[in-house]
Amino acid sequence: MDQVVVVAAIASGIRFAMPILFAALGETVSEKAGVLNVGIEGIMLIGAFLAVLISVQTGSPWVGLLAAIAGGIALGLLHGWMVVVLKVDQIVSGIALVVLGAGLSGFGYRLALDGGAVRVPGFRQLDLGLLSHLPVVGPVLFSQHFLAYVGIALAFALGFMLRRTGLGLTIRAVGETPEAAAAAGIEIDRVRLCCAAFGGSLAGIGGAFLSTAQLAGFVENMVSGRGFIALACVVFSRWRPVGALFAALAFGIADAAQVRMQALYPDIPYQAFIILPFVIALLAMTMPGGAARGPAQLGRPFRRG
Amino acid sequence: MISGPILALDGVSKSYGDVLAIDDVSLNIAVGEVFALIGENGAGKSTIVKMMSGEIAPSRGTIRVLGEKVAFSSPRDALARGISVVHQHYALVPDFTVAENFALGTAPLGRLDRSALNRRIRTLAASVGVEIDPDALVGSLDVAGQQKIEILKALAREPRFLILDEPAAVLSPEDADRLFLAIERIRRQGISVVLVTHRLADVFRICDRVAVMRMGRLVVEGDVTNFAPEDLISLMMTGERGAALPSQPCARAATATAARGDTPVLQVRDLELHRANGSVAVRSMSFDLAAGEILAVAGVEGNGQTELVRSIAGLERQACGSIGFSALEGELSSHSPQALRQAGLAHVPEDRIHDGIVLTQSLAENLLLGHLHHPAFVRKGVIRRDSVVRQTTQVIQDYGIRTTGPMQPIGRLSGGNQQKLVLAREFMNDPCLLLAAHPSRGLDIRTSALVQGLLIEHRDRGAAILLVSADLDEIWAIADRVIVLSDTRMHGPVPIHETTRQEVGAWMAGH
Repeated sequence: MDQVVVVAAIASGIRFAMPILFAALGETVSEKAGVLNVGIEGIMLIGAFLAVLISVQTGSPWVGLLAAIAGGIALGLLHGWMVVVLKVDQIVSGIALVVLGAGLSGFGYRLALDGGAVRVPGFRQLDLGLLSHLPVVGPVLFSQHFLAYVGIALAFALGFMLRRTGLGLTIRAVGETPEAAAAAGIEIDRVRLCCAAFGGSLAGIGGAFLSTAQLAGFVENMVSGRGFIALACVVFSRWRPVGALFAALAFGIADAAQVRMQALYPDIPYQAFIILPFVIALLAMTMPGGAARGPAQLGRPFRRG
Repeated sequence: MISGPILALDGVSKSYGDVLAIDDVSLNIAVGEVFALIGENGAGKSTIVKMMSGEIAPSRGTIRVLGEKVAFSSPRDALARGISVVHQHYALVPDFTVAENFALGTAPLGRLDRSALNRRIRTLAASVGVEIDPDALVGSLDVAGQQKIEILKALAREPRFLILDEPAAVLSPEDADRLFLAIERIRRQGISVVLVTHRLADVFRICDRVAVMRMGRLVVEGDVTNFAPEDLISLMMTGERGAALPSQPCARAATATAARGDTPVLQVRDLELHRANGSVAVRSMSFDLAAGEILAVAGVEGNGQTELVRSIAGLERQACGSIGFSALEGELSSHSPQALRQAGLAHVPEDRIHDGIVLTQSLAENLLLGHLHHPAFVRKGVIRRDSVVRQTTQVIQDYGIRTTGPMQPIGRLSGGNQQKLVLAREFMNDPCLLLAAHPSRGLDIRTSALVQGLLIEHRDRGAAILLVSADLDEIWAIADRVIVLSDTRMHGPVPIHETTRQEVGAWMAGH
């Protein structure tokens, strides 16, 4: 591959990474508090659909983004209510969320937009003038969507929040030793509900990025496994937001590369390339770092006394 | 200065259903005094603590703080009144540093000011004369270190009243000394301290006044100087001062000795046992257990009994020393628990609910546990339902288990009936070595007598039985010899008819 192709692959790889990054960041915070949400795939689908629907109706991708966030919070709270309040098994509730998200978004799409193609007023790439036209760094660093910069900044901000603030301390204690946190006067269930809602909102943003920034339009099941890749990112990064950023970038660039390689090597069945990011995810899990211990009470409901 | 009691219990009772856990207890605790609350296991000390700290509400009677009647609905209410508790089980996050644990729940949600936090911890620590590294990871600290954090956390809330629940029970003598110095300094700050303990040494070391609880009642309350250690032991055990404790020799001991074989069934040498948190439970113990004998392990709970039984059952590995089991070659710990069971070891675990039975499964399935290799019950990997049900029905009859039938989930049964099934299961293969940890705890008198009768029956048939019990009556009723674990040491073994309850009681209290 020549330089142009590589630069283009990296630049679009960053774009491909963003839906995964947002979802993974939200999931990191949620899991740190002990709430495992394997249903972020479903939330991303709802986010993607709502972003398209509302952007088309209002003409503004920002209002669409807000709708996706609202949808994400609603589903995050639904999951939180199931697992935190009703103490339903977290895996079961999460899987239900995947199915619910796929069904609702697909059905809603046919209902509201007749399942046809629409012109979506999507996010445009930033044009920082001179900077964006620099060779190599221009397309890679200075021509991304505004949301991409938000995502990268958020990774660092959440890393700081979890490690250095009282809020982060509270969240980590709730996921690690809820008995101790409760004894310190912290309302375990409330913290967990908030974190589940936050995770849902970021998964919603991830879905919105996919349908209004990375692509422009909604297709049924368009998230196609990115929610699960995000879950893998959380584990692989050992529940560190900045680590999740790099993990998401690796998957994004692999994804962008495989799209280009399909064209470069027409003799190889294209399916072999499509599975590339998933193979990387599997391999990453088998590496020593992948087996690191997560929050001790991840997936377990808290019962007083 | 405030006069009158800082905390007063007035005719307080607490009942759970029909059971009266606390019966009409009145206590007054003055400002700046160290008050000891002592009693045997189950005497009601922890229920009193829970009422003082707002965890439970009394069924009758009133609690007053500084003369004002209070009704706590949660520990938070008690905290607001200046009552802090350091529990026996610490509420700490092991993955956090000392400072982070300190900040938990008290720091604002924003950025943590670590240097201010560290300064505050050091100041507090200095005020009670201890040293602590705020950046140390809590999980890496020993019990004494973790206890320090809990006490400092409690002090940080500026309490007027501090309750310490069994603070010295798990500490080494040196750490206990440091703890007592700290308590002395806390008292000088005008804070009242209630020390819940069953170690008499602690009472005479630092306490001003003492209250003795027995079976939910307050036996006596007064200045420590009015009592001798023997008085308190006698009060704790019989409710009367200077009562002549019955110590008739065990009539069956002689006959039992005759049945003993030559080689001991269990040989324990220089055993060192550690608790799950890494502290030393027993530094060195050696004893033999012969066939046809019941050796009782007495002592206040938490002095290594749990670890001893689990080590012999093959469920955990001793820190040092050796355990030999006559039915198997070599060191016991080189065999799996299953191999031990097949060689004739049986285990009635201390924690029936967690280790003894599966609550949701039927009596028949619970009876099958540990006997899955038995050809009568399982053939070619398939359970022979008929024969298991028949055997269970037989057991239900033999042991008088009250149930609707062999298929009833065992969780529906009362504790005594559950325990009968556990015993039936463990006795099923005529074990040559039985580990019985608190086999009759929490059972009514009739069931206790049945359990003790079963132990004697199997002892007379030649089984070697290690009986862990906190109940001296039980030990005197059925054991042949006794050892006492206290303060990481082992006292005895001594034949029951050569010792007295006073002597054993004094060993238990660390004298």
